[in-house]
Parts: sequence; structure tokens; C-alpha cells
Amino acid sequence: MANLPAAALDYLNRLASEQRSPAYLLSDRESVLLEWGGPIELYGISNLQPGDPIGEQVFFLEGLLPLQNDGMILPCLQTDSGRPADLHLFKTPEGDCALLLDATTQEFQQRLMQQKGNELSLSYQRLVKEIQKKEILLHCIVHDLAGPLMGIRGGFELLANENISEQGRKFLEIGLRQATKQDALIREILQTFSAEVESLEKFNVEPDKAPDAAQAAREVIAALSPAFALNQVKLQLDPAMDLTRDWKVVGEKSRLERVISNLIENALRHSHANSTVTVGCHDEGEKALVTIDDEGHGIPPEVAPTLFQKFAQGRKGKGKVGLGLYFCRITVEHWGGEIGHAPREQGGTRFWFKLPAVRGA
Amino acid sequence: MIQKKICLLGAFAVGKTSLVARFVKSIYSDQYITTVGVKVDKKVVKVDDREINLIVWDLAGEDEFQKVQMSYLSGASGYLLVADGTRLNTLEIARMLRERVNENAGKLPFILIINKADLEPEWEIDDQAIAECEAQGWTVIKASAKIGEGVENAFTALAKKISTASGSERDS
Repeated sequence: MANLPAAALDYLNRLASEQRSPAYLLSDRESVLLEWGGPIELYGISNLQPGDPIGEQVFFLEGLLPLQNDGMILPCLQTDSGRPADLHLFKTPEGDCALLLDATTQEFQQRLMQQKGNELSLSYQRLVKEIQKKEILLHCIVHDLAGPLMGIRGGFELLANENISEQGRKFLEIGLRQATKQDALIREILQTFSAEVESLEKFNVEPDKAPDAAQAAREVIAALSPAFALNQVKLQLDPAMDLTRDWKVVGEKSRLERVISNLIENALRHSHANSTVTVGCHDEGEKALVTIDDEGHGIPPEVAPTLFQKFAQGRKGKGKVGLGLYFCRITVEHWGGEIGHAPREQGGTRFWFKLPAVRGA
Repeated sequence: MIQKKICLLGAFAVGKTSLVARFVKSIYSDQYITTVGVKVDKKVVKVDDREINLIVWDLAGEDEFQKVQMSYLSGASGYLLVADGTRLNTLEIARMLRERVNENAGKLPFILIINKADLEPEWEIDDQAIAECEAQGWTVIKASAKIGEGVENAFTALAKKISTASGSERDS
């Protein structure tokens, strides 16, 4: 307090005394309470006994005394029974001093600002998360709506191998350009009308409305056959499958077809020429098991654990965006089913999913 | 009776104060009230038939405007790192805080609590992230201050760790 006149020092003392309610506790080097002073009860401290360990009487001082260094300031310390206080710990010739200064005003002002700041941060984090969720959903839709275009393009490309006139070839090019344009248009429209994603939440459990897994598989096979033919890969329904019965499952027809389509397209991407992809339905009592078997090179072990996570394929570069299998998982799980894959004994991979079977009334 | 000071550290709004309220008073409130500075509470726990008075320092959470002040850890025997299962970045903050504790207070016994187990389907902290922590020798406990799951267990487990550590010190 150099250069401050006595009057100013008196003023400061009065100010501190009136506004900060200073109280102190003094302990020796063995942390035994020697003396105390000031409105100590404001800070929830009472029944002090000189000569007893200070940490046992003032529990928040446990571990802090004796001081290991010159001192420290612990701002805004609160207990249930007392006012918030700035705790100043420092050494004196008589021992260690714990000085408490009322911090009620500071605590109140800081809490107002901190509360507002933290609430805004939490709201921002929640908003970002919501946007991410919507974006993923939108990507799934875009990805799957773009899927049939693969079949259309494949068909055009097959036609290009045929002996057609020059005029026909021009028409083919127009068709290909239009398919590409449609792909772009779908994305644009979906970005604009993303609210329609809500309709995806619907699914059926009634026998007359529930989709038939075998029927869905047949339709997907028909749609994807040109693409398979172009790649010289055979795509077939399991010849051993019982087609005389129905294979109704919980779900929604168009999305079930997308699930099967995504899995078949995935099999195609990992199949070599002159191999076969087989789609089958199997009865597992309460559930129907749908399988897609390929004769490809199998799944590398490092990829297997994350295969059904979003963007998993994208990271490896072999597939498309990496949302197809993620879409399959979230859809199948949403319908109460499960999905997985396993290596086949004869080589290749079996992708499968199970859905609750819907029995006729 | 033995007294041990422990601290709770973590990002803001991970539920540190709620965990203490559940542990000490068996209460829970959905209302989020930020902690300024530090709140100190206490509770007696039993470890191997021995009673320990835990002095619990609930430190203000780390946020973008303020860092956790390491001087609050002075004299602590151990600490609970708290993360919010629904916010992945809170695990990163917990990892960073642990490093800061190591630098400032030395290696103390600690336990990682992943709070909000009642919202587990919404968790961003997945099993792989937890396994990575465990692979480093961390004890990880899933807890919910809301329903009480794992809370007592976490505090008692830390008291046990502290008790074992101080026992080793005495033996050596």
C-alpha cells in the first residue's frame, strides 16, 4: 500500500469490512486451530475448538493446510450452509491464515453470465446435432432414390452394345444425359422438400399391408438385372426357396426394396465377372431371414466392425458414399429386426437381415 | 475418522453437481444451474469396514470462457472425471483435464464417470471409445444422476482406489 495516505487505507479497510465481511482462521504448522475472528458464522462455520485440527472443524480446509507454498486464492467457494466466499490462504509469522471474503455479489453476477453462455452453447450443440441427423437422413434418401438410375443407365449401356442405328445411338446418349440430369434433379428437390422425410417413419404390421420379402426381392432382381448382365455377374433368386408361400414381414414395401437393393448392389460391387449373387428367404419361426450371398473376395477384417456405420464404405473408396449399408441397418432396426454379414464357407460373403414375420389373420 | 478430499472435473453441463446431489442427498433436479467457482460437500462412505469422510469439491465445468482452475485440486487425494455420454466432445475435455491434473497435481487416483446413462440410446460416446479408455488402464463407470444408477458405485470405487493408494504409500 505504498503511497496511499492513511485516510485512503482506512477507507479501503472500511469498504472491505462492509462489503466483503472478512473472517479469518489461523492455524499452526500442524494445522491445529489457534484462533479466528470476524463474522465466521456467515460462512457456515461454528462450534470451533482451539487446539483441535482445523480440517476436522472446517471441512473445506481438509487437505489445504498446512500450506505447501506461499499461499493461494480459491475464488467463489461455496458450502450448503454458508455464503460464497473467496478463500485466501497465506502464511503469517504465527501460522497459516485462511481469510474468507464474501463473494455473494460476484457469484451472482458471474452465474448470470455463465448460465446464459452455457445455455447458448448447449442450444447450439443440440442444433448442430439435429442438423447432422437430418443431413444423414437426407443423404440416405438421395442415395437410395439415385439407386434405380443405376439400373436405367446399365440398361442404356447394354443397349449401346447392341447393333443399333446411328440415330438410335443418339437417342441412347440423350437417355443417358437425361438420367444424369434426373439424378441431379432428385437431389435438388429433396433438399427443398426435406420435410417429407417424416413419411419414412411409417411401417406396416397388418397382414394385408405388410410387404412380402420374396416379392420385393423378385422386383429388385428384375430392376438390377441389366446392371448385373453388364458386369457379367449372375443374379438369381435362390432356386431352393419356397415360392408357394408368402414371406410377409414388418416394414414398408418401397423401403424394404431399397434395403434389398442396397445389399444386392453392394454384392455386385464386390463380385467378379462370371460369379453369382443369390437372394433367398428362409423361415426362422417368428422371423424371416433374407440372405444375399456373393462369391466375391470377402470383407477385409479391418472394415468389418464399421461396415454398417455411416460413411464406412466412403472411407475405403470401393463403394459409393457409404450410406447404403447404414441406411439398411437403421431401417431394419427401426422395424425391430437385425442385420449382419458373415463369410461363406465356399468363399464370398453372406449379407443377411431378419425381420419379424407377419402371419395371416 | 479419515478425511479425504476428492474433486469432480469435467466440461460444463455434464452433470457434476447432479452427481454430487444424488450421492450426498439422494436428490435430482432436471433444471440446469451452472456452478460458479466450487461447491464443497461431504459424505461418509464405508470402504472395507472402514469409514472415510469424503470431502467432495464440485468444480465449475470447463467451457470456452473459463478453464478449470487447478489450484482447487490442492490437497486432493483423487478425482472423478465426468463426461456426458450424449456429447462426444466432453470425453475429449475429460482426457485433456486429466493431462492438466497430471501436470499440476501429479498422478492421482481417478475414475471416469460417463453420466446420463438413462439416455444411453442417444449416446455419442460408443463402446469403442470406452474400450480405448479402459485399454489405458482407466476405470470407466456408466452412471445416471437422474435415476441414480452407478453413482454410489463410482464414488465408493474412487474411495477404494484412494484407500489402496494411501495404503501402498504407508507400506512403502
